[in-house]
Amino acid sequence: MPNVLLTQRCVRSCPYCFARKQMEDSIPDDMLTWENLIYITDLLETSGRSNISLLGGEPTLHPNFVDFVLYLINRNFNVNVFTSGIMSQKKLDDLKNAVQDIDPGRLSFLCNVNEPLKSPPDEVEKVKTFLENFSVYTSLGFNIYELDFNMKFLVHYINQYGLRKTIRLGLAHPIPGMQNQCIDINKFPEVVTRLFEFMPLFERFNLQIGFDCGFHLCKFTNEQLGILNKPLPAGVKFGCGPAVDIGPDMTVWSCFPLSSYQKKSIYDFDSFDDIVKFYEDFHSKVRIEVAGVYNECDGCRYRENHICDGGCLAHSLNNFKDEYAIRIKDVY
Amino acid sequence: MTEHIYIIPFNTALIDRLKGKALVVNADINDDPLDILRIVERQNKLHCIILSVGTLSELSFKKEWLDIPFYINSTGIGSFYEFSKRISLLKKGNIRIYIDSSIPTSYTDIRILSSLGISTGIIISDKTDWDSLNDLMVYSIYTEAAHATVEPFEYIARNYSPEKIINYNRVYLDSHERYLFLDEDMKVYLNSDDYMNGKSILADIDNVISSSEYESKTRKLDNFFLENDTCVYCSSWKICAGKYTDIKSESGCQKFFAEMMDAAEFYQKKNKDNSWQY
Repeated sequence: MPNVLLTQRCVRSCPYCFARKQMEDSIPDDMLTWENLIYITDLLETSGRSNISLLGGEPTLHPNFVDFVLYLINRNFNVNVFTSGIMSQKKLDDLKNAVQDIDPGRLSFLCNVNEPLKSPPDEVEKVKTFLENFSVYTSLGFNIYELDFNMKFLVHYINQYGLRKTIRLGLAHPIPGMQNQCIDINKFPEVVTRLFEFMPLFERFNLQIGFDCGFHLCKFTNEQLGILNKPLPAGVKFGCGPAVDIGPDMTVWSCFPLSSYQKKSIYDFDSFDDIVKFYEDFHSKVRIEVAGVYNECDGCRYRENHICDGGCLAHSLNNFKDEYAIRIKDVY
Repeated sequence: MTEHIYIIPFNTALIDRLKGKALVVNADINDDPLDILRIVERQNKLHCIILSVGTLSELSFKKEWLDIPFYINSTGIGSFYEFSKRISLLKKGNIRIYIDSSIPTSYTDIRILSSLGISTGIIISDKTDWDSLNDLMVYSIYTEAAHATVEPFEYIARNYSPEKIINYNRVYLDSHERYLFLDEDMKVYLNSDDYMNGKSILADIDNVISSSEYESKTRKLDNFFLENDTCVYCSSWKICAGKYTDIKSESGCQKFFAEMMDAAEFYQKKNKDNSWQY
């Protein structure tokens, strides 16, 4: 699903933020215009797409955010909004009025939350207000960026506010050339161990876990994989591929961690499928240089069968940033 | 020659005197369009109703009006939230929404309306931002995604010919060869400016074509090229017919109409290439 950035501005400064490089390289007050939104919508429509994600920064900071959502719904798109849930009371009221007649099957919010004890109290209160008001539209997202993470509060939020019973788990990835807080690849087994401490709780409340990109299949035991796959007939994904982000200035890139690689203009492409193919080719080229984050990824049958993509490409590219340029130029 | 269509105020006595004619009724916001339709269609044909509203978010368009042809003058979308409640109805309506190019938001609002499948038109005024107009024209003609037509671009693209002058004022119901304005006393005006300024012609409704004013308007262009004016040297005069002769020196009208000609050729070539399919 294409991700459209409405603005580069954000209300938080998360230590793991993998959008930071993109934010720093951009004009902070850059906002997506109506004309550009219509261009993107037309491009997606002619490419046969009917889903769109809005993100930022914090997308609700865009002055036309509510109007954009209504417009996209009227263009017959299914809209997914990545938000922190932190917004002014006026924006929240406007949004509530605007979405009250929209089918929750057409609009969803993925509210990315941080642990309350590690967040400023006023932010926590605003998040709670958001969850209370948009419960039927909202599922939670949580980024793991340190080893002693705690996810009990997610269960509490879901039960207290009647949210959707899915949790999207993300791993904080490195931004090549930047210092953001992320998980060392050698510590992944500890992440998995910690994650499974919460699985009985998730099972008890019938919650489903979905993985964002960059998890590695080989760090899970067969028993753990069985537990993860039990409620999901399609199976848990261990992917890493182009998300395709579109900036307010109409530049496109593969995903936030790779925002400084092969950035192009949307006008260089005739269709959205062409953009996806371009970044898939980029991923494939880099995978020839380095199969995955571990040496064992090379020759791994799960990777060859596309069950696991070998972890986040940004981890692999991070290894090349200081070496003498002897590989294909795309990786530098 | 096709019969004229008469643009009149909503007046039952006037409508009755124009038995058998095609009429455009300039309605007041308080007039009921269903009443207008009923009264006109007793002995006449309703061409359309002109409705002048503020923003579209203030327009309470009714389901019962869906079959009535409307020419809607508006200042823009207004509150998108309020407007969004009317989108599905407006899409189904037999309407075209016009916004004046002197309103800075007109270019964006028209693009939004068109992309939502609502037919629109931009009134090209003296205060046009020609670059924005060009962007809108490019969107209207070249965009592959489904969208409603934007006038006058569609009309120009469809009717453009290197051999003749096209009068796109028709899309504004303001061309004396097709539309005549009448007031409640049956005085005749050849265009909207004359109507607004009270400049009626001497002839009555049955003798308009033979009047000197009508003749003079029709032949206006004959002398145009005898003047030493930059419009004379402009390649796009067959489209604009010198409408912007007073403002051209500081405007971008020449560049715009040159781009419009290219777009028209593209449009016609594309439709010609597809014509074997129909």
